[in-house]
Amino acid sequence: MLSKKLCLKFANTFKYNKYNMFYMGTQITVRDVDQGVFREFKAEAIKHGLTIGSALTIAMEKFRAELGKKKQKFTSLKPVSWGKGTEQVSLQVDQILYGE
Amino acid sequence: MVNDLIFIDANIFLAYDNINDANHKKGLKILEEVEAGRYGDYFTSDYIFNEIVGVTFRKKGKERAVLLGEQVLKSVLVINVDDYLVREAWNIFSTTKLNLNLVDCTNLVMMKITGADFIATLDKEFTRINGLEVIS
Repeated sequence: MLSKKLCLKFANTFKYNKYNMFYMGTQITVRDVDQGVFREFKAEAIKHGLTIGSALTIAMEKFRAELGKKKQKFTSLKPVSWGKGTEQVSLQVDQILYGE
Repeated sequence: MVNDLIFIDANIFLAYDNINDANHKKGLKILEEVEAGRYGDYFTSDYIFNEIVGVTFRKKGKERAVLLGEQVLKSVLVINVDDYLVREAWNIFSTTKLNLNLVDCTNLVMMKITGADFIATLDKEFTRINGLEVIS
């Protein structure tokens, strides 16, 4: 483990490098981030005592895990008959649920 | 390169599941194309999940609602509508002149945030929104 003083020295040395050697984490610039989402994300990170970097790493890992899950096909479920009088159900979702 | 994304509305899943539905063949075709990757990755929201299960429960019964709900959870990415999304959706809902309910507005916000260009829906109101490609 590097001492704090040495770490600070390293941080200064690599200040203009691509990688932030002090934390051993990559510095990135991200375009097209929704401002509102980022504001809320930052607030949540602070609330949980996390830095933006560590909170973002957690979020990215969760995102990757979620998308990487081997999904089965929805259409592997065989459709069935819902019976007479259900011919227009797909167009009546709002009416059925909300009475619109 | 950014992958394409498509949001799937409740009516597509419901049309698929009911062979009696007038839009059953359309729902089947769209979902097969979606699963083949024609529009990139696909997802829906927990509000839409609630609509799928709710309508199925009322019209076909609990057993089918549970089966269909489980199938959605196993096969489709379901993103939660959080406080931020609700507030943004509320802003749209309270100002739009279009005939969209609050759930429809959460769909729009979710699409904006994820950068999704496509929406699979039978709801014609979405065709009136600029910048959306409606698959129906």
